[in-house]
Amino acid sequence: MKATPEERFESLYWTHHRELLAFIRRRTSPNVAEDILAETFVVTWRRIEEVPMEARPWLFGVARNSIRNYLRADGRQQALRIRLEQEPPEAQPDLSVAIASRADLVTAWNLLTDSEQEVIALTAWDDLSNSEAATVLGCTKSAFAVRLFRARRRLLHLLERTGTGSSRSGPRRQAQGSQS
Amino acid sequence: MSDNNSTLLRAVQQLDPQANPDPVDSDALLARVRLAIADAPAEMPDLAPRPVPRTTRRVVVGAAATILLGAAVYTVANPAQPPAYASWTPTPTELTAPVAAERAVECPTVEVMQGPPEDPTDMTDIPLTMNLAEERGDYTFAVSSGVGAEGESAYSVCLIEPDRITAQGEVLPADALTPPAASDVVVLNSSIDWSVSSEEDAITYLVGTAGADVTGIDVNAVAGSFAHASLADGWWAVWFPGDVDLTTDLTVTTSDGTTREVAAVPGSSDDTGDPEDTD
Repeated sequence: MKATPEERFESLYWTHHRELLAFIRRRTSPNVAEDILAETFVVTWRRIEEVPMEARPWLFGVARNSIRNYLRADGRQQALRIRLEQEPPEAQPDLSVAIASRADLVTAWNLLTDSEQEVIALTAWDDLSNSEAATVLGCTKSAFAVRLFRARRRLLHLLERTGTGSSRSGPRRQAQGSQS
Repeated sequence: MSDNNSTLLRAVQQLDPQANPDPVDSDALLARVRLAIADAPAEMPDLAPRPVPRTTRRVVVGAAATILLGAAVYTVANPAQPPAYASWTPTPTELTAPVAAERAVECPTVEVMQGPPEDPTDMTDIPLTMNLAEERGDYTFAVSSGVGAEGESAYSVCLIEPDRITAQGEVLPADALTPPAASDVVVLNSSIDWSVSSEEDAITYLVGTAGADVTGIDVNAVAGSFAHASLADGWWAVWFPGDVDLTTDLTVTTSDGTTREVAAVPGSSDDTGDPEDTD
């Protein structure tokens, strides 16, 4: 039997609210994240009949637009900057750690453009597939794959430069959550 | 994905500021959501994601009418490297299949076809096979095409620079890749501005199919420059550095030695979509 709109809405909320909140928190300050999540679900409720069966990328797309709407209204810019002094979430013995020191990686990451950070973050942080991320950004999967490829390569390039200890670190950018 | 890139993404995961998120009171948050629904104004901005653009365009060359042939402008990031494409040459070097395959290893192997309007996320992959690859200076340009399970066709072009790769493609009507008559030439891409932005350089390209008797195609820019197109496997392609206005005519040579000017004429086109790389 087909779920009622209310049942579908509840199901979407309980399935996705945590990952959507994390997605929003990565891109905004903590004190507004829940407001933006609420707006995301307001849109979801009003368009419940239009939400595709593969709802995840659609919901992330609404959340992304809600963030942009908030930041635009507030005169801020979206940023996925990492604060250098921020402690790593958890030290893990992993091959990836050997790629560079955390400081080098943070420096290189903060030199990426907003667009480059976004395509990598959608994959590495938000755990979206290329197809899902493409839907979130409103581009085709192949276009997203190329953008991701380009962003990864630029990050590697920056990492190689910063890893040499050279002084070409470029301008420091604002830390995540402190946009102005 | 290469080992380097896999390792890189794992390293980036370590930077995730939400790797250990603050706890969430889900019930309280749901109550807050319900309150927001009740209090929301009747009019709200349209925050639903845009459907993934799908382009179906075709311009046919060969009839009498004349138009200015606007070409696709295909953008690539190219910071701090003026002048762009300095080693570009008007005459291409065709690449052997093994060399082309090696260089194009990171180019897209599918073009994604968006689902119907009622479910645009129901996307279908159209597998691509390389038709042509050429070299102009330090730059390799490859053209691939394919036909989907339901007859929809697609092409993709891929520009391989020494330090980056960029690609664009279009989904086309089902009959778009039907080989043209022996001496005819078809232009598949149409006049679209492909998301030029201040931080990116552009190229201008034409891609299409050619009849079996076509042995050469020259393309002229309004400003006076020209380039020889590459021809292979019933496909042709040419590109210029920058955003270039091309003349109305292509110079087409056929196997009997005849050279003629053919004008660009818009064919059946559906100019409703946006190029795929816009954001």
